Amino acid sequence: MFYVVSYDISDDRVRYRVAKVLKAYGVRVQKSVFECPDLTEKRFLKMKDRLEALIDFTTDSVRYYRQCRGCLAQCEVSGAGELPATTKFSVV
Amino acid sequence: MERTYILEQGAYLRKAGNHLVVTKNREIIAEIPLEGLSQLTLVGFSSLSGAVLEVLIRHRIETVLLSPRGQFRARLMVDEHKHVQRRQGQYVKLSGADFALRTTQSIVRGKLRNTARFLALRGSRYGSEALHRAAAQIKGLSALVDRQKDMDLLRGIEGHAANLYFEVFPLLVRVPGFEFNGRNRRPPLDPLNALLSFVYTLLTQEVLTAIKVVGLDPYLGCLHAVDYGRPSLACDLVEEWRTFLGDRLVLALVNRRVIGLDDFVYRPTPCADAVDEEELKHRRPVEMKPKIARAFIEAYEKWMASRILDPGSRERTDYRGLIQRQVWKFCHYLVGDRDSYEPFIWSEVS
Repeated sequence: MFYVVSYDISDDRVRYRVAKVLKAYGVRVQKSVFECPDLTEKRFLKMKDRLEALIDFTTDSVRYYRQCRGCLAQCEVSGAGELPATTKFSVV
Repeated sequence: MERTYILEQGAYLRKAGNHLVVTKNREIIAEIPLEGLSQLTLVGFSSLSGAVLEVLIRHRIETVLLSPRGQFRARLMVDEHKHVQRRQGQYVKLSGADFALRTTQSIVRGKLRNTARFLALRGSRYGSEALHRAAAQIKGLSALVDRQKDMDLLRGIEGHAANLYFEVFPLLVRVPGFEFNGRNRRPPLDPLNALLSFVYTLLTQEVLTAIKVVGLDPYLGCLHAVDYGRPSLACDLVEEWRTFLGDRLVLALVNRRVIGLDDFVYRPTPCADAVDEEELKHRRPVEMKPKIARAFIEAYEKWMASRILDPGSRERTDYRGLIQRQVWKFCHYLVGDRDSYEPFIWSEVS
Protein backbone atom coordinates (compact mmCIF):
# COMPACT_ATOMS: atom_id res chain seq x y z
CA MET A 1 0.00 0.00 0.00
CA PHE A 2 1.18 3.50 -0.78
CA TYR A 3 1.48 5.80 2.24
CA VAL A 4 2.10 9.49 2.58
CA VAL A 5 3.66 10.31 5.93
CA SER A 6 3.99 13.84 7.24
CA TYR A 7 5.20 15.09 10.57
CA ASP A 8 5.36 18.18 12.75
CA ILE A 9 8.05 17.90 15.38
CA SER A 10 9.43 20.69 17.56
CA ASP A 11 12.67 19.19 18.82
CA ASP A 12 15.53 19.24 16.29
CA ARG A 13 17.09 15.99 17.40
CA VAL A 14 13.82 14.06 17.41
CA ARG A 15 12.95 15.47 14.00
CA TYR A 16 16.27 14.30 12.60
CA ARG A 17 15.76 10.82 14.01
CA VAL A 18 12.24 10.56 12.65
CA ALA A 19 13.47 11.57 9.19
CA LYS A 20 16.20 8.95 9.44
CA VAL A 21 13.69 6.21 10.22
CA LEU A 22 11.45 7.31 7.36
CA LYS A 23 14.31 7.23 4.88
CA ALA A 24 14.41 3.47 5.36
CA TYR A 25 10.88 3.18 4.05
CA GLY A 26 10.43 5.82 1.42
CA VAL A 27 11.46 8.93 -0.43
CA ARG A 28 11.53 12.44 0.94
CA VAL A 29 9.33 14.66 -1.22
CA GLN A 30 9.17 17.74 1.00
CA LYS A 31 10.98 18.84 4.17
CA SER A 32 8.58 16.94 6.38
CA VAL A 33 6.68 14.73 3.93
CA PHE A 34 7.68 11.24 2.87
CA GLU A 35 6.13 8.94 0.30
CA CYS A 36 6.42 5.25 1.06
CA PRO A 37 5.44 2.94 -1.80
CA ASP A 38 4.78 -0.79 -1.34
CA LEU A 39 4.41 -0.88 2.40
CA THR A 40 3.00 -4.15 3.61
CA GLU A 41 0.83 -4.09 6.72
CA LYS A 42 3.68 -5.56 8.72
CA ARG A 43 6.22 -3.06 7.47
CA PHE A 44 3.82 -0.19 8.09
CA LEU A 45 3.15 -1.23 11.69
CA LYS A 46 6.86 -1.58 12.32
CA MET A 47 7.52 1.88 10.95
CA LYS A 48 4.72 3.35 13.03
CA ASP A 49 6.06 1.63 16.09
CA ARG A 50 9.54 3.03 15.54
CA LEU A 51 8.22 6.55 15.07
CA GLU A 52 6.02 6.38 18.14
CA ALA A 53 9.01 5.42 20.22
CA LEU A 54 10.69 8.68 19.22
CA ILE A 55 8.09 11.42 19.32
CA ASP A 56 6.74 13.37 22.26
CA PHE A 57 3.00 12.69 22.28
CA THR A 58 2.09 16.03 23.86
CA THR A 59 3.73 18.30 21.30
CA ASP A 60 4.56 16.30 18.13
CA SER A 61 2.46 14.57 15.53
CA VAL A 62 2.95 12.18 12.62
CA ARG A 63 0.17 11.58 10.11
CA TYR A 64 -0.20 8.62 7.78
CA TYR A 65 -2.35 8.80 4.66
CA ARG A 66 -3.22 5.63 2.81
CA GLN A 67 -3.45 6.08 -0.94
CA CYS A 68 -5.23 3.64 -3.20
CA ARG A 69 -4.16 3.26 -6.82
CA GLY A 70 -7.07 5.36 -8.07
CA CYS A 71 -6.31 8.25 -5.72
CA LEU A 72 -2.64 8.08 -6.60
CA ALA A 73 -3.38 8.40 -10.29
CA GLN A 74 -5.21 11.66 -9.62
CA CYS A 75 -2.31 13.20 -7.72
CA GLU A 76 -1.12 16.59 -8.96
CA VAL A 77 1.98 18.64 -8.27
CA SER A 78 2.53 22.38 -8.49
CA GLY A 79 6.06 23.67 -8.54
CA ALA A 80 9.16 21.54 -8.10
CA GLY A 81 9.05 17.79 -7.73
CA GLU A 82 7.74 14.79 -9.56
CA LEU A 83 4.58 12.77 -9.25
CA PRO A 84 4.73 9.86 -6.81
CA ALA A 85 6.72 6.88 -8.00
CA THR A 86 4.86 3.60 -8.25
CA THR A 87 7.49 1.55 -10.05
CA LYS A 88 9.15 -1.34 -8.31
CA PHE A 89 12.59 -0.42 -9.50
CA SER A 90 14.89 2.57 -9.66
CA VAL A 91 17.88 3.38 -11.80
CA VAL A 92 20.70 5.57 -10.47
CA MET B 1 11.59 -0.30 -4.45
CA GLU B 2 12.26 -3.96 -5.01
CA ARG B 3 15.11 -3.59 -7.46
CA THR B 4 17.73 -0.92 -7.83
CA TYR B 5 20.27 -0.53 -10.60
CA ILE B 6 23.37 1.59 -10.10
CA LEU B 7 24.55 2.70 -13.53
CA GLU B 8 26.46 5.79 -12.47
CA GLN B 9 30.19 5.23 -12.91
CA GLY B 10 32.33 5.95 -9.88
CA ALA B 11 29.42 5.86 -7.45
CA TYR B 12 30.07 4.97 -3.85
CA LEU B 13 27.46 3.31 -1.66
CA ARG B 14 27.41 3.72 2.07
CA LYS B 15 24.94 2.94 4.75
CA ALA B 16 23.19 5.61 6.83
CA GLY B 17 20.58 4.52 9.30
CA ASN B 18 18.48 2.05 7.44
CA HIS B 19 18.98 3.41 3.96
CA LEU B 20 21.75 3.47 1.42
CA VAL B 21 23.34 6.69 0.28
CA VAL B 22 24.84 6.84 -3.19
CA THR B 23 27.55 9.47 -3.52
CA LYS B 24 29.72 10.59 -6.37
CA ASN B 25 32.57 13.04 -5.85
CA ARG B 26 31.29 13.51 -2.29
CA GLU B 27 27.92 14.66 -3.48
CA ILE B 28 24.80 12.72 -2.66
CA ILE B 29 23.09 11.63 -5.84
CA ALA B 30 20.49 9.23 -4.45
CA GLU B 31 19.10 7.71 -1.31
CA ILE B 32 17.74 4.18 -1.44
CA PRO B 33 15.43 2.83 1.26
CA LEU B 34 16.54 -0.61 2.41
CA GLU B 35 13.12 -1.71 3.56
CA GLY B 36 11.64 -3.85 0.79
CA LEU B 37 14.79 -3.87 -1.35
CA SER B 38 15.38 -7.33 -2.75
CA GLN B 39 17.79 -6.90 -5.64
CA LEU B 40 20.72 -4.61 -6.26
CA THR B 41 22.50 -4.53 -9.59
CA LEU B 42 25.79 -2.70 -9.88
CA VAL B 43 26.85 -1.91 -13.43
CA GLY B 44 30.45 -0.94 -13.98
CA PHE B 45 32.74 0.75 -11.53
CA SER B 46 31.00 1.43 -8.27
CA SER B 47 32.13 0.55 -4.80
CA LEU B 48 30.49 -0.13 -1.49
CA SER B 49 31.46 0.03 2.14
CA GLY B 50 31.76 -2.85 4.57
CA ALA B 51 28.59 -1.81 6.36
CA VAL B 52 26.66 -2.03 3.09
CA LEU B 53 28.08 -5.48 2.46
CA GLU B 54 26.98 -6.51 5.92
CA VAL B 55 23.44 -5.28 5.36
CA LEU B 56 23.23 -6.89 1.91
CA ILE B 57 24.21 -10.20 3.44
CA ARG B 58 21.95 -9.91 6.45
CA HIS B 59 18.86 -8.99 4.44
CA ARG B 60 19.77 -11.54 1.77
CA ILE B 61 19.63 -8.93 -0.96
CA GLU B 62 20.48 -10.44 -4.32
CA THR B 63 23.51 -8.47 -5.49
CA VAL B 64 24.70 -8.78 -9.07
CA LEU B 65 27.78 -7.11 -10.51
CA LEU B 66 27.85 -6.40 -14.22
CA SER B 67 30.67 -5.01 -16.29
CA PRO B 68 30.30 -1.49 -17.73
CA ARG B 69 29.00 -3.08 -20.91
CA GLY B 70 26.36 -5.05 -19.07
CA GLN B 71 28.02 -8.42 -19.03
CA PHE B 72 27.63 -10.62 -16.01
CA ARG B 73 30.69 -10.68 -13.79
CA ALA B 74 29.80 -11.78 -10.31
CA ARG B 75 27.13 -12.14 -7.75
CA LEU B 76 27.17 -11.94 -4.00
CA MET B 77 26.63 -15.49 -2.86
CA VAL B 78 24.86 -15.99 0.39
CA ASP B 79 24.99 -19.53 1.61
CA GLU B 80 21.40 -20.28 2.37
CA HIS B 81 20.61 -23.60 0.84
CA LYS B 82 19.99 -26.21 3.38
CA HIS B 83 18.32 -28.40 0.79
CA VAL B 84 21.13 -30.85 0.35
CA GLN B 85 18.64 -33.49 -0.73
CA ARG B 86 17.39 -31.39 -3.58
CA ARG B 87 20.85 -30.93 -4.97
CA GLN B 88 21.68 -34.56 -4.35
CA GLY B 89 18.56 -35.49 -6.27
CA GLN B 90 19.64 -33.22 -9.07
CA TYR B 91 23.11 -34.79 -9.31
CA VAL B 92 21.86 -38.35 -9.14
CA LYS B 93 18.95 -37.96 -11.52
CA LEU B 94 20.61 -35.79 -14.13
CA SER B 95 23.52 -38.23 -14.24
CA GLY B 96 21.13 -40.97 -15.30
CA ALA B 97 21.21 -41.11 -19.09
CA ASP B 98 17.53 -41.94 -19.53
CA PHE B 99 16.34 -39.22 -17.17
CA ALA B 100 18.61 -36.60 -18.72
CA LEU B 101 17.37 -37.58 -22.16
CA ARG B 102 13.72 -37.23 -21.19
CA THR B 103 14.36 -33.86 -19.57
CA THR B 104 16.25 -32.60 -22.60
CA GLN B 105 13.44 -33.78 -24.86
CA SER B 106 10.84 -31.78 -23.00
CA ILE B 107 13.03 -28.67 -22.87
CA VAL B 108 13.78 -28.78 -26.59
CA ARG B 109 10.18 -29.60 -27.44
CA GLY B 110 8.97 -26.62 -25.41
CA LYS B 111 11.44 -24.28 -27.03
CA LEU B 112 10.62 -25.38 -30.58
CA ARG B 113 6.90 -25.23 -30.01
CA ASN B 114 7.08 -21.68 -28.69
CA THR B 115 9.36 -20.59 -31.51
CA ALA B 116 7.08 -22.11 -34.14
CA ARG B 117 4.05 -20.44 -32.62
CA PHE B 118 5.80 -17.08 -32.56
CA LEU B 119 6.76 -17.34 -36.24
CA ALA B 120 3.28 -18.48 -37.22
CA LEU B 121 1.63 -15.59 -35.37
CA ARG B 122 3.95 -13.01 -36.90
CA GLY B 123 3.60 -14.71 -40.26
CA SER B 124 -0.14 -14.19 -40.21
CA ARG B 125 0.24 -10.62 -39.03
CA TYR B 126 2.71 -9.63 -41.72
CA GLY B 127 1.24 -11.94 -44.34
CA SER B 128 4.61 -13.57 -44.94
CA GLU B 129 4.88 -16.95 -46.62
CA ALA B 130 8.51 -17.46 -45.56
CA LEU B 131 7.67 -17.06 -41.87
CA HIS B 132 4.91 -19.64 -42.16
CA ARG B 133 7.23 -22.02 -43.92
CA ALA B 134 9.88 -21.69 -41.19
CA ALA B 135 7.21 -22.14 -38.54
CA ALA B 136 6.02 -25.35 -40.18
CA GLN B 137 9.57 -26.65 -40.48
CA ILE B 138 10.32 -25.99 -36.83
CA LYS B 139 7.04 -27.56 -35.81
CA GLY B 140 7.98 -30.61 -37.84
CA LEU B 141 11.32 -30.78 -36.03
CA SER B 142 9.57 -30.60 -32.67
CA ALA B 143 7.62 -33.73 -33.60
CA LEU B 144 10.93 -35.49 -34.24
CA VAL B 145 12.23 -34.71 -30.78
CA ASP B 146 10.32 -37.41 -28.94
CA ARG B 147 11.59 -40.20 -31.14
CA GLN B 148 15.21 -39.08 -30.90
CA LYS B 149 17.17 -41.22 -28.47
CA ASP B 150 20.61 -39.73 -28.93
CA MET B 151 21.62 -36.67 -26.94
CA ASP B 152 23.91 -35.24 -29.61
CA LEU B 153 21.29 -35.61 -32.32
CA LEU B 154 18.84 -33.87 -30.03
CA ARG B 155 21.25 -30.97 -29.68
CA GLY B 156 21.63 -31.04 -33.44
CA ILE B 157 17.89 -30.68 -33.93
CA GLU B 158 17.84 -27.74 -31.57
CA GLY B 159 20.70 -26.09 -33.42
CA HIS B 160 19.07 -26.68 -36.77
CA ALA B 161 15.84 -25.12 -35.54
CA ALA B 162 17.78 -22.12 -34.26
CA ASN B 163 19.37 -21.73 -37.69
CA LEU B 164 15.98 -21.85 -39.38
CA TYR B 165 14.68 -19.30 -36.92
CA PHE B 166 17.49 -16.80 -37.34
CA GLU B 167 17.36 -17.17 -41.11
CA VAL B 168 13.88 -15.65 -41.15
CA PHE B 169 14.53 -13.31 -38.23
CA PRO B 170 15.22 -10.28 -40.49
CA LEU B 171 11.65 -10.56 -41.80
CA LEU B 172 10.38 -9.78 -38.30
CA VAL B 173 12.12 -6.41 -38.27
CA ARG B 174 9.83 -3.85 -39.86
CA VAL B 175 12.19 -0.89 -39.73
CA PRO B 176 14.45 -0.43 -42.75
CA GLY B 177 18.19 -0.12 -42.21
CA PHE B 178 18.72 -2.79 -39.60
CA GLU B 179 21.07 -5.43 -40.85
CA PHE B 180 21.00 -8.97 -39.59
CA ASN B 181 23.30 -11.56 -41.11
CA GLY B 182 22.59 -14.44 -38.83
CA ARG B 183 23.10 -14.64 -35.12
CA ASN B 184 26.59 -13.81 -33.92
CA ARG B 185 28.00 -13.18 -30.48
CA ARG B 186 31.20 -12.66 -28.54
CA PRO B 187 31.19 -9.98 -29.73
CA PRO B 188 27.87 -9.26 -31.46
CA LEU B 189 28.53 -7.55 -34.77
CA ASP B 190 25.38 -5.52 -35.34
CA PRO B 191 22.82 -3.67 -33.20
CA LEU B 192 20.20 -6.43 -33.37
CA ASN B 193 22.66 -9.06 -32.21
CA ALA B 194 23.86 -6.76 -29.45
CA LEU B 195 20.31 -6.22 -28.22
CA LEU B 196 19.57 -9.94 -28.32
CA SER B 197 22.75 -10.75 -26.41
CA PHE B 198 21.95 -8.17 -23.78
CA VAL B 199 18.41 -9.34 -23.19
CA TYR B 200 19.49 -12.99 -23.08
CA THR B 201 22.06 -12.13 -20.41
CA LEU B 202 19.39 -10.46 -18.31
CA LEU B 203 17.00 -13.39 -18.76
CA THR B 204 19.65 -15.95 -17.85
CA GLN B 205 20.34 -14.00 -14.68
CA GLU B 206 16.63 -14.01 -13.95
CA VAL B 207 16.47 -17.79 -14.28
CA LEU B 208 19.69 -18.22 -12.32
CA THR B 209 18.24 -16.23 -9.44
CA ALA B 210 15.14 -18.41 -9.45
CA ILE B 211 17.30 -21.55 -9.45
CA LYS B 212 19.24 -20.22 -6.47
CA VAL B 213 16.03 -19.45 -4.61
CA VAL B 214 14.79 -22.98 -5.17
CA GLY B 215 18.14 -24.33 -3.99
CA LEU B 216 19.35 -26.24 -7.03
CA ASP B 217 22.85 -26.20 -8.47
CA PRO B 218 22.82 -23.97 -11.55
CA TYR B 219 26.00 -25.55 -12.94
CA LEU B 220 24.61 -28.97 -13.77
CA GLY B 221 22.11 -29.14 -16.61
CA CYS B 222 21.24 -31.62 -19.31
CA LEU B 223 20.80 -29.93 -22.69
CA HIS B 224 23.96 -27.91 -22.15
CA ALA B 225 26.87 -30.15 -21.33
CA VAL B 226 28.89 -29.48 -18.22
CA ASP B 227 31.51 -26.86 -18.93
CA TYR B 228 33.87 -24.97 -16.66
CA GLY B 229 32.03 -21.98 -15.23
CA ARG B 230 28.93 -22.34 -17.37
CA PRO B 231 25.63 -22.31 -15.49
CA SER B 232 24.23 -25.11 -17.63
CA LEU B 233 20.95 -25.50 -15.80
CA ALA B 234 20.21 -21.79 -16.13
CA CYS B 235 21.08 -22.01 -19.84
CA ASP B 236 18.71 -24.98 -20.16
CA LEU B 237 15.78 -23.40 -18.40
CA VAL B 238 16.14 -20.06 -20.16
CA GLU B 239 15.54 -21.72 -23.53
CA GLU B 240 11.77 -21.68 -23.15
CA TRP B 241 11.82 -17.93 -22.48
CA ARG B 242 14.12 -16.70 -25.23
CA THR B 243 11.45 -16.11 -27.83
CA PHE B 244 8.56 -15.33 -25.56
CA LEU B 245 10.34 -12.78 -23.37
CA GLY B 246 13.57 -11.84 -25.11
CA ASP B 247 12.93 -11.65 -28.85
CA ARG B 248 9.50 -10.13 -28.46
CA LEU B 249 10.87 -7.31 -26.30
CA VAL B 250 13.73 -6.53 -28.67
CA LEU B 251 11.47 -6.59 -31.71
CA ALA B 252 8.90 -4.38 -30.00
CA LEU B 253 11.54 -1.77 -29.16
CA VAL B 254 13.01 -1.82 -32.64
CA ASN B 255 9.75 -1.92 -34.58
CA ARG B 256 8.19 0.85 -32.52
CA ARG B 257 11.31 2.91 -33.17
CA VAL B 258 12.18 3.29 -29.49
CA ILE B 259 15.69 2.17 -30.35
CA GLY B 260 17.14 3.34 -33.65
CA LEU B 261 20.35 2.82 -35.54
CA ASP B 262 21.91 6.04 -34.22
CA ASP B 263 21.58 4.85 -30.61
CA PHE B 264 24.70 2.79 -31.10
CA VAL B 265 28.40 3.49 -31.30
CA TYR B 266 30.13 1.74 -34.19
CA ARG B 267 33.78 0.88 -34.48
CA PRO B 268 35.54 -0.53 -37.46
CA THR B 269 37.14 -3.74 -36.21
CA PRO B 270 39.32 -6.15 -38.06
CA CYS B 271 37.41 -9.18 -36.91
CA ALA B 272 38.52 -12.15 -34.83
CA ASP B 273 42.19 -11.48 -34.24
CA ALA B 274 42.04 -10.38 -30.64
CA VAL B 275 44.50 -11.85 -28.18
CA ASP B 276 42.01 -12.80 -25.52
CA GLU B 277 38.48 -12.16 -24.25
CA GLU B 278 39.50 -8.94 -22.50
CA GLU B 279 40.86 -7.38 -25.64
CA LEU B 280 37.88 -8.52 -27.62
CA LYS B 281 35.65 -6.54 -25.29
CA HIS B 282 37.57 -3.32 -25.84
CA ARG B 283 37.20 -3.71 -29.54
CA ARG B 284 33.54 -4.40 -29.65
CA PRO B 285 32.23 -3.44 -33.07
CA VAL B 286 28.92 -2.13 -31.79
CA GLU B 287 27.79 -0.82 -28.46
CA MET B 288 24.73 0.82 -26.95
CA LYS B 289 25.05 4.47 -25.94
CA PRO B 290 24.71 4.92 -22.16
CA LYS B 291 21.44 6.80 -22.36
CA ILE B 292 19.76 4.13 -24.44
CA ALA B 293 21.11 1.40 -22.15
CA ARG B 294 19.23 3.09 -19.33
CA ALA B 295 16.03 3.29 -21.39
CA PHE B 296 16.46 -0.35 -22.35
CA ILE B 297 16.67 -1.46 -18.73
CA GLU B 298 13.58 0.56 -17.90
CA ALA B 299 11.68 -1.05 -20.77
CA TYR B 300 12.89 -4.46 -19.64
CA GLU B 301 11.72 -3.85 -16.09
CA LYS B 302 8.29 -2.74 -17.27
CA TRP B 303 8.10 -5.74 -19.55
CA MET B 304 9.00 -8.20 -16.80
CA ALA B 305 6.36 -6.68 -14.55
CA SER B 306 3.60 -7.28 -17.13
CA ARG B 307 0.64 -8.92 -15.46
CA ILE B 308 -0.37 -12.29 -16.77
CA LEU B 309 -2.53 -15.24 -15.83
CA ASP B 310 -0.50 -18.30 -14.92
CA PRO B 311 -1.80 -21.05 -17.23
CA GLY B 312 -1.17 -23.77 -14.63
CA SER B 313 -2.79 -22.40 -11.52
CA ARG B 314 -4.96 -19.66 -13.09
CA GLU B 315 -3.48 -17.13 -10.65
CA ARG B 316 -2.44 -13.62 -11.52
CA THR B 317 1.28 -13.05 -11.60
CA ASP B 318 3.93 -11.31 -13.72
CA TYR B 319 6.57 -12.64 -16.10
CA ARG B 320 9.08 -12.85 -13.29
CA GLY B 321 6.65 -14.89 -11.23
CA LEU B 322 6.07 -17.12 -14.23
CA ILE B 323 9.78 -17.89 -14.48
CA GLN B 324 9.90 -18.71 -10.78
CA ARG B 325 6.91 -21.03 -11.07
CA GLN B 326 8.55 -22.90 -13.92
CA VAL B 327 11.74 -23.39 -11.95
CA TRP B 328 9.73 -24.68 -8.99
CA LYS B 329 8.01 -27.09 -11.36
CA PHE B 330 11.41 -28.28 -12.52
CA CYS B 331 12.47 -28.79 -8.92
CA HIS B 332 9.35 -30.82 -8.11
CA TYR B 333 10.12 -32.90 -11.16
CA LEU B 334 13.69 -33.50 -9.98
CA VAL B 335 12.74 -34.67 -6.50
CA GLY B 336 10.13 -36.97 -7.99
CA ASP B 337 6.84 -35.21 -7.18
CA ARG B 338 6.05 -35.01 -10.86
CA ASP B 339 6.52 -37.52 -13.63
CA SER B 340 7.45 -35.11 -16.38
CA TYR B 341 8.66 -31.55 -16.78
CA GLU B 342 6.25 -29.45 -18.80
CA PRO B 343 7.96 -26.38 -20.21
CA PHE B 344 6.08 -23.13 -20.52
CA ILE B 345 3.44 -23.38 -23.25
CA TRP B 346 2.65 -20.13 -24.95
CA SER B 347 -0.64 -21.22 -26.51
CA GLU B 348 -2.19 -21.64 -23.07
CA VAL B 349 -1.62 -18.01 -22.24
CA SER B 350 -2.99 -15.98 -25.08
